[in-house]
Amino acid sequence: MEASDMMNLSGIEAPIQLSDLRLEFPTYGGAVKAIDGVSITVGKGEIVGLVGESGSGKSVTAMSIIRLLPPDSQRIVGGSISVLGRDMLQLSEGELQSVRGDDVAMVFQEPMNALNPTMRIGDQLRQVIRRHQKVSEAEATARALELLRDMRIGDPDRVLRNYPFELSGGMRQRILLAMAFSCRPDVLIADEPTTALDVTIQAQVLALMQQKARETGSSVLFITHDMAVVAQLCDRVYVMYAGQVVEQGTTEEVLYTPQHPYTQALLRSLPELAEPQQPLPTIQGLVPNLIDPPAGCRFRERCHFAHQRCHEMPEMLAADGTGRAARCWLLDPTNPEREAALEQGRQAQRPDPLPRAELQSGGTLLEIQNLEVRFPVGADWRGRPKAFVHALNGVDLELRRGETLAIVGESGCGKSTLGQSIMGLLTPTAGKVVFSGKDLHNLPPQQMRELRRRFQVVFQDPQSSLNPRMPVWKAITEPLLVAEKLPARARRERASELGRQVGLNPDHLERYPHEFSGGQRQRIAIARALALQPDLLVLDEPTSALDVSVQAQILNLLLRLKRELGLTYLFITHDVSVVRHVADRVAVMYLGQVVELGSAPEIIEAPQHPYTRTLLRSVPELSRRRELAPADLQGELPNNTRLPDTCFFRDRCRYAASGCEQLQSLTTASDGRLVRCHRHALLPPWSVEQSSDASHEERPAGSAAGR
Amino acid sequence: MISARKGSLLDWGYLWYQVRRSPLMAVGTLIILTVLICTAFAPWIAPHDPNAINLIKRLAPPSLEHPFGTDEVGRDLFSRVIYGSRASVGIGLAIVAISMTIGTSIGAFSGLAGGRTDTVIMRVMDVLLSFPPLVMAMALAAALGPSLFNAMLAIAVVRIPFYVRLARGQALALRERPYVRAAVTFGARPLGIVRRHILPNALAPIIVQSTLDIGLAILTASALSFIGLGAQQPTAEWGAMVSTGRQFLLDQWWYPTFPGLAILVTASGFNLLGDGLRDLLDPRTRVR
Repeated sequence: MEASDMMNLSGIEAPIQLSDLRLEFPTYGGAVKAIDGVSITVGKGEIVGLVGESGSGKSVTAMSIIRLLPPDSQRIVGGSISVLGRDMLQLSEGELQSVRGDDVAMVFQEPMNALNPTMRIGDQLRQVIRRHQKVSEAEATARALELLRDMRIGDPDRVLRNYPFELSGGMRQRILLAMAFSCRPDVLIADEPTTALDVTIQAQVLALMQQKARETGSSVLFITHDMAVVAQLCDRVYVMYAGQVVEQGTTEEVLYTPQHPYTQALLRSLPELAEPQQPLPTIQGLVPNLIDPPAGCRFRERCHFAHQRCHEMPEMLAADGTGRAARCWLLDPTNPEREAALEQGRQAQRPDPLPRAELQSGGTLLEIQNLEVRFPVGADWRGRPKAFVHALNGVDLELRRGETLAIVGESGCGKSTLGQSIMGLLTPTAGKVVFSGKDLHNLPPQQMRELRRRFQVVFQDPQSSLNPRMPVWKAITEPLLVAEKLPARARRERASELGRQVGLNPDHLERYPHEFSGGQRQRIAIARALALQPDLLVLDEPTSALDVSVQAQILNLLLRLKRELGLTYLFITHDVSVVRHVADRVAVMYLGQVVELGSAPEIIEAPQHPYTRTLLRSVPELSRRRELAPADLQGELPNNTRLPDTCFFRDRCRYAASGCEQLQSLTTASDGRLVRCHRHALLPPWSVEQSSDASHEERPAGSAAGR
Repeated sequence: MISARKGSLLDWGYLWYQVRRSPLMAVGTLIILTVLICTAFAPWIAPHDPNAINLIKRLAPPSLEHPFGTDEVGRDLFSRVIYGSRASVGIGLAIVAISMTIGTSIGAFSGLAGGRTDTVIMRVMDVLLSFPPLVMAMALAAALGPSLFNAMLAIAVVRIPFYVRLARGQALALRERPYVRAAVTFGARPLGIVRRHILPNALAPIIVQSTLDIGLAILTASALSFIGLGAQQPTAEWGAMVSTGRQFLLDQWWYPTFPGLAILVTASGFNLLGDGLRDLLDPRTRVR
């Protein structure tokens, strides 16, 4: 009936086989049933994805496979775990240790935490190699070099001598992959290994992982929250919700014809597939409490298709003759309520489209003129800085009243520094920020405080942007206390008004931030930003810390507020699909400069600057499965303490030619956008597929054209 | 009746759960409660007047009438140990209260101000820290003149730099928090930020430190009394009692032993409580 059973019929036992695993975390309030009847099979040489939102139990499942969870904090109450034919629940700690590393390797999300900061990379690699293989020190070094070369690390001799802090995040993650593959493991468990990385680096790491796994025939269990990564990498997928697998099947099946209402809703809430600036379909309600989950289907209370039968827990039901299955009664053809439920669901889940808002771009609200910010590093004996980090290198931008300008770029590009300069949290080294005619950084303190009321900020992490010891109504109205000295009663009234505006229950405002979910906390932060009725909101990655279904709610809220209140947004993000959904105009940043600036649809549909092209090509896409291309971007981000005196992107650019050794300035392209590349008109037309504008054909022609 | 929120300290079930999770903290709490009861109700608990001299019964061994024996002038040691808790624990609490208040204010201010102010304050603290604490306390107490009050002042001064450093570290970390930066963006002034955001959030580690410090303060006060710079006769104080009882250790073991045990048990009690509080206040170990 199930995929796992079919695997067994073929006679060979699958490398990873979980059946009906049940695991609990005992707490004061009762046992949290974190995994409740999970069966997962990973066949030989397969790459299997395990997707779900936070709290779905995907990481706990992965950790329990190699028994990495501390024994006194959890108990396994049922089921079995078999790895390479061994019963992991029966092995002793010593035996487990030899399984981990020898046969099973694991890669985690945060590469810095997994490396010893006080040991050179070479020593760490040699140690791992020699623990599992009887080789001499010299042989281990040779092997380590070979591994690093396999991971396309440019200068492996130097890297072996480096300490972890000297390397970038992507480099560290590649070293961890090298370690993981050093003993040719039969099984690799990867827990969100690319979540902390930039998209261009993510593309490289995913490609390497896939290639290496195919070479060594390893089976991979890949845990992620990102459906688009699954689309690129995985052969089969399991979708988890509230401690259970709710759907399984091949990647195509699950992503393109999902059967379970949760999978359907999750995919629909992605901005990537939606009409820009229209409300995204969301999932109502919250994930159930796993101490005392509701009887029957765990998704019932949030499901548009819920019917009487759902009060009974569904089995994994096979969809058709294949291996795909979903934990939903709708798949039972004998279910008498099925037709009615399907109809009811179809009716319910269409959000009303909003009329297309005309962009009423008024006058200039904010103008940034040649903004430069640099930070001193270290100090010599006279107390002078040894070097400067050049975070912003001459940014010119104009923000018009009523528009959403997205700033997009990878870590280190200066987008957050830009946001902080605009918020007046940083004093620029040179240049001006002019907000409705006033130079922000040259105002007396009292006028500055007055002006500040007109622009407010929402930060990335809703957890740390609220004071944990302040009740929510006070947090929301703190600006009113500070700026208007309103008495408590008036503030309370205003708090419920603001709460209602952002979709919070006004009765809950006496509570403290930890009693709210991540999405609700972000609503609180937005309410606080709105308290002084500002003109401009600076949104610094407002949805990056949220699950996709929650992200959809917050994006809807932001779009609605903008319409209702006529706000202007400066939207800082690294997520191209979010940009596509919310932005009117986009500025792409690289190394403290704007490299391309224009209307959002134009830039995303047809990028011109080579960096924008690389960036967009690296973004994993749900709608299209394509081969992973590892070598699109060479090298690392240049060191921003010593800026190149050529085009900043030249060393990594596949179209580099003569003329690129000069600093580039923003020039206006034929369609009115600004591009910082002197050859933008000569570049081949944009295509997502790399092969159609292969660099080796392009280079000689380009250099001729560039004279 | 107060409705206890789940997971709060008014929820008896939750308290019992914490006790089972960390029995040592429960032991510490019990010790502290016992000591505090002794301090508050000494006249009712002590069977004798602590200063009543009875030369006939001098240096009597522990008996039913004198559970801890008597000293060289026949005073009841049990009563003196109970009354001694007033001096010792009182001085411990006072020392910590003084050094915590002053130290935390200086530290929070220094951390938030930054720059030159911060540098100057911290170098002064470094100078204070560079003396061995006991030697420093001895010097101060000797200069001020031997009395319990002066010993208290001396030890409080010595403990201030520890709180300054702790509070400054907290302020440095907290001022980078998004909620503090958000407060800057709507124009909040430094004093308001310290009051609304820094102090409430910096307090947990400072309270833990102060609990651990009470034990240390009691020990230091006893040490000063032991060398004659603290409590003076006839005040009952544990350190002073150990000091005079020391010469009787070989023949009348009970004289220095029981006051010494009182110091040991009380100091450990505060340390166990402090360790437990540290775990309890750590949000990562808290039950939601």
